[in-house]
Parts: sequence; C-alpha cells; structure tokens
Amino acid sequence: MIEAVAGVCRWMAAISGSVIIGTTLFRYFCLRDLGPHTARTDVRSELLFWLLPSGLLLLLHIGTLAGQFNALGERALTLDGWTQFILDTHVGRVWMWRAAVALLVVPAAVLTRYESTRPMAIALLPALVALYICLGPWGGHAAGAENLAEALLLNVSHQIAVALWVGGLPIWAITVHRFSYRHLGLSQSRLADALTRFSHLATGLMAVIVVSGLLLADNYIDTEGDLLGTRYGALLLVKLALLGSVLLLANRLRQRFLPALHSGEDALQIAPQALRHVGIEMGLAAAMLGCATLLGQTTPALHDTAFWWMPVRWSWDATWVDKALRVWILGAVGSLTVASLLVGLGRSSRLRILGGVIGLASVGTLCWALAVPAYPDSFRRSDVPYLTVSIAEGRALYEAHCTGCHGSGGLGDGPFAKSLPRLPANLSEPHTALHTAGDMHWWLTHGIPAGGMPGFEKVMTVTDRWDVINFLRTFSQGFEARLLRPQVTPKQPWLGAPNFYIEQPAGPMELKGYRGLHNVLLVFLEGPTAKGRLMQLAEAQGQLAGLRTTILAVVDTALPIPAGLPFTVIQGGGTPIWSSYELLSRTVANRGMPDRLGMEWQHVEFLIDRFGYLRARWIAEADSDGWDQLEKLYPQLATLNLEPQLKPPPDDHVH
Amino acid sequence: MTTRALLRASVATEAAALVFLLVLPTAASAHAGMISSEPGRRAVLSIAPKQIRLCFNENVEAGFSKVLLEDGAGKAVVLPPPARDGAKTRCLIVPLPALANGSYTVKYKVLSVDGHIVEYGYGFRIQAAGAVND
Repeated sequence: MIEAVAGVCRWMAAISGSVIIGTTLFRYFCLRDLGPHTARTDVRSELLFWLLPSGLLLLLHIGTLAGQFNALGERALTLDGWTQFILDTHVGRVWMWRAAVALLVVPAAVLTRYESTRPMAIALLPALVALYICLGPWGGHAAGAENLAEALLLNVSHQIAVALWVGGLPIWAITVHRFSYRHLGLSQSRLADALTRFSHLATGLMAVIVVSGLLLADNYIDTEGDLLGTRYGALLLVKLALLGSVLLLANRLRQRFLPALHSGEDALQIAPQALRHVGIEMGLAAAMLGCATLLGQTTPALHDTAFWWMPVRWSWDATWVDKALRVWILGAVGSLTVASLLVGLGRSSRLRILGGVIGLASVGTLCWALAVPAYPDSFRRSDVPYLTVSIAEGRALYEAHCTGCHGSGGLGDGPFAKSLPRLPANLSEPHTALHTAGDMHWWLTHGIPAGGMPGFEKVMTVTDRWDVINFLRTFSQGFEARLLRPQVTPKQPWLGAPNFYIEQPAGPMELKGYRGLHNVLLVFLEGPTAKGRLMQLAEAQGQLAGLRTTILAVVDTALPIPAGLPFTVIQGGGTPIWSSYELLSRTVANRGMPDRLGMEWQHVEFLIDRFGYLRARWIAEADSDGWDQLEKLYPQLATLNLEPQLKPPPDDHVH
Repeated sequence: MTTRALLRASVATEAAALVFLLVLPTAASAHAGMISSEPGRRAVLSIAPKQIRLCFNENVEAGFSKVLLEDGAGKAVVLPPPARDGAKTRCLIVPLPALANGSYTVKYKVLSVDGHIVEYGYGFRIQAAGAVND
C-alpha cells in the first residue's frame, strides 16, 4: 500500500514537473511572436501551470520517500532511521538533493509574479525543474548500470523530452480554447504558426523519446519471454501501445487541424474536435507517465521469472538448420518484401489489398516456419550457477532417477526405453536452439506425458532440477568437445569452463577469479606419473607465470604431494571437479563406454583462457605428442595471450 | 499522409521497435545481483571460514543491508552487521565466529544503489579435512 502511495506521488510529481517546463517552453518558444502582453496578463494559466505544480512538486517529492519504507525495516518508525537513510545512502542523498531543488522551485514560481524578478524567475523556474528531472535517474535503475554515463544520458534525454512534450499539451489546449472562444487578440495565422512550431518541436521530441526509450528498454529486455512473459515487459508493451495511439492523434492534429487553421477556417468550428483530440492525448500521455513510474518500481525483465503463455515460441536458430523450413522462411521473407512494395508503392487500392493479403500470408507462413514448441518455463532463467558441484550433484541425480530410460551412458538406451510410447532422448546429442534450459526445467518438473516421462516435481527440488540441467549441458557439450586438442584453435572460444572453488592458505578462491588476469592450466592427475608431472610443472612455474598462466592441479587423494610446490594443489575434494571435467574429456577416437557417463583417464590437462573458455586439452594417454614437452605448451599460451577478448565471459548460468 | 497510412506506419514502427528490442544485444543491466561470494555457493570447506564476503554487480548500502547465517537446524548464528569491504563499495563483509562442522545457509537482504532491495540466499558446508573443495 505504502509503495502504491509513493508510486502515485512519483507519477504526480512527474506530471507537475512536466507541466512547468512544458508550459514555459510553449509560451516562450512557440508563442514567442505573440509579445509579452499576452503572456504576462495570463494570470490564471500561470497559477495553474506554474504556481500550483511548483507547490505540488515539493509535497509529492516528500511523498516519494515513502517508497523506501521497506528498505528501512524496523528503523522506518524512527526519525533517526530516516535521517540516517537520507544522509548515508546514495538513494537518500539523491532524494535530498532533489528535495532541495524542489524547495527552490516554489520561490522561483512565486517570483514570476513580481515585475522586477520576473525575467530571472522565468529563466530559473524551468531550469530548476529540469535539474530536478535530471537528478532522478541518479537514484533509479540507471544508478546501477555498468555504463553509468550512457545510462544517465539516455534517461535524462528521455525524461526531459517526455516532460517538454507532455507539459506542453495543457497550455496548447488552453491557448486554442481561449483563442476560439474569447479571441485573445492575436491573428489566427499567428496562432497557427505558434501551433506549427509546437508540432515541429514535438516531432523532434518524439524522436528522442522513441530512440532513447528503445535503447533504455534494451538494457532490461533480452528475449521475447522477457517482453511477453514478465510484468516489466507487459508494462513496456502498454507504454508502446499508448505511444502509438498518441502518435496517431498527434498526426491527425497535424494533418487536419493545423492546415485548417492556416487556411483561415473558422476556429470555432474546428477547435472542439482538436481539443477533444488533445484531451485524449493528454490522458494517454499521463498514462504513459504512469507506466514509466511503474517501470521504475518494477523488477527489470532480465531479473524476473518469465512466464511464457503461448504453446509455441519463434526461433530463427532452431529452425534455420532444417533445410525444408529454410526454403519456407526464405520464401516468406521474399513474399513479405513484395507485399511491402505493393502496399507502399501500389497505385491502386487493388494492388494494395493484394499486397496486404500476401503480407498476411507471408507473416502467417513465417510464424508457422519459425515456431517451435514452448512451455511456460521456456524462458525461465536458472538461478543455480554453472558450478562443478552442481554438475556433480546433477550427475548423481541422473544416475539415481534417469538411467532406467535414458541409459547409464545417457544414450537413450535404458532397460525401460523400449517399453515407452516414444524412445527417450539420446542425451549425448548436441544441445540445440530447439530446446532452452527452461524447456528442460519444464520437462523435469512436469514430465513429457506423450513420451512416457514422469515429472520429478515431488522427487527433486528446484535446485536439484537445475543441477540435472547443468549436468545435461556439460554431458552434451562433452561430445562436441571431442574436437579439443593440445593445440589452440585461434579465435574460436566456445566452451565455457565450469566454475569451482579452491581453498587456499591465503583464503578461498574460485576459477572465475582468474578471469581477466591469467590463463589457467587445469591439471588432473593420478597414477604413477603424477608426481613427475607435478615436479616438471613446478620447475616450469617461472616460465608459465611469465606467460600469464596459473597452474591448478587436482590430484588423487592417495598421491603424496611433494612439498613446496609453487602452485595450488587440490587433493581429496577434487572429486566433483573431475566428475564434471571428465565429461569434457571425450576424444574423436574415444567417445567413452556406452554404459558409462565418465571417462577413465589418469592424466588430463585443460587450458583455460583468461576469459574463462576451455581452449585446448591434452590427454596424456590419448595424445602422445603433448604438453609433457613443455615447448609444445608455451606456443599455445602465447597464442592465447595475443588474442583480444572475442566474446563476453561465459555466463554463470545455463540458457 | 492519411490516417490509414499513418496507422500502417505506426504499426510498422512498433513492430520494428519490438524486433529491435529482441535483436539488439542486451547491455549490462541495473539491479543488484551477487556475482561472487566467500564462502562460495554450495562450497564444501575443510576449514571454517573467517568471514562472509558478498560482492554484487553494483554498489550496495552496507548500513541498510542485512546478512544472516543459519546453521543446519535453522538456528541463527549471531553476527555483527555487515560492513563495506574497504574501498570496494560493491562488496559486504561480515566477520564470522568459530563455526562447527555442518551445513549453513547465508541469507542476505541488500539495498542497492538504485534503491531496490534484493533478497537471496545460498548454502555451504564445513566438513572434516579430507574432502576439501568442490
């Protein structure tokens, strides 16, 4: 409830601020030819558009603080708590600065009433309100953006443009109304010129609003699930729909009312309809500001759980691989182009209708060709990080619950497979864009009734299900990773290294912590050659450090570790790490046993680049010509060190 | 331009806007999310940690954030309030008392710089030496 009160205050404050600067702009830019007489004697509109909103702005700004009630917790009931919040937090300080500005707005508005201070006050008033608006994003979503300057610039441009446009509408309506019914003592052509100026200005402002709004929205929207399946996305769509309606109305005014006014048509005849249009436009604009206020209080779509309510989703990646579908897609795109030309350039209505029909058919075909089955969880994001402990847990859960059908080697050949209505999936096949991680979550939760797969909602927790999905991702990628070799393939990072934690005397560390700093040579060792390799790497430590490479060794519990090794050795607790990384150690010649998930190597080394990608692998038992000759390792490191960052670091979660 | 033409243009613009939203790479977004922690999520430790350290993708307000620790039985471990980790305004630290072996759950509620509250939690386990990491 208190959040709602704060939201209403924020909304009304936005309207108040807009009215002040929009009115000023309209009067001193659009009506500039009308002389000081008209502007100065308009006492009632000054009270309505300057003084009243100035007072309201301050009161409403104070009300916005209520939105932080929850942040204060039990301290919300004490004055000390609020004082501390205002003085000690970034949001509080921004609120305080804005309050100070809002406080100055009131005397500035009052000073417009006095002859001696009027010119200064008229300049100061919109400047202060603009400052109030500009400070807003410092305390909102933009404040947390990685590119703060860009986010602030976009937010400020967007909000100022909205304020100038929205705030100009009431004074537009009042001016037209007074001219039509009372004749303000100016010629119709001069009023038409003034309104035309506003129309041109509004067009420019609208361009700023649309471009900055889209760039801002892009920060919070990634997939169609975000757009259509979250509250944030829904609000954004409503805002876009309102904007579209506003553009229609504005254009109607521009195309019909302004030319009529210019042509000398009786204003009394044409004004009522124009005023109705502007009235609706003002209502829509206020609703847009309401949406913007709600968006500011809503969890951005990227951080929300998307609920997909349609039975299909549309994926280019998933369907383009199918050659038959590719023909349909290309055909539909081609006919859509023809349809656009017919509609846009067609000289007769028949041609345009034909274009419309072809266009609809093309869109329908595209929708069909690009559609893949979808589920409510299709765009759900995992909140379980891609950690080796998760993959290992998932593997154990798979072995406990899934091998009966999917087989102990994951090939879809379990003992119950043939008794099912449909053969279970071969999980070694590459993960494709056909299925999202969210799809898998849905299947694990609710099963696939048509295929005979049960749901595991009552058997596995949500975390368990994401663990299984993390395992399945690694397992499937392991078959693609068969192509890894001891030589780095330049400029082709694709396989993210699963993250894990390392306990060190200096404190805990994680694999991810080396990103941006060092390559990592991740060494898995057991058996008789292990000690020798550790000693060899110890001797090469200086050279490897010079090549910006850190060694992490995971060794068998039984192995006696030589003292004084100059790198981290993980012993005993390395089981989950190997349990995950062994899934990535299949080779072209050795896919592994069909009834086993893992491999049986004794000595495998992975080279992880400084951006978190697995780039090369040496399996001592499989690649005889390998990194035991260190001079074959060093060039690989040099290659990696020369590479710039080609891709963002691997995501912490699967998609 | 007629109203009908404008309607077409408007629909086309909005469709293009939606495509733009979905096609353009998404920039880093605001809203605090934890990017690293000590102990790590689901870490299995042989040595009891001396502190909890939580780092987020944006600045957080230590004075209006809470970090709670519960043992395996759900009993709260008494902790001092979180503090900022030196000059690192995105990280909070909480010193820990000596912890016995067992499972623990870290729960946090942080006020981020954008004025939003983020609540979440994760678990870790301390067990006798022998099984060290994961």
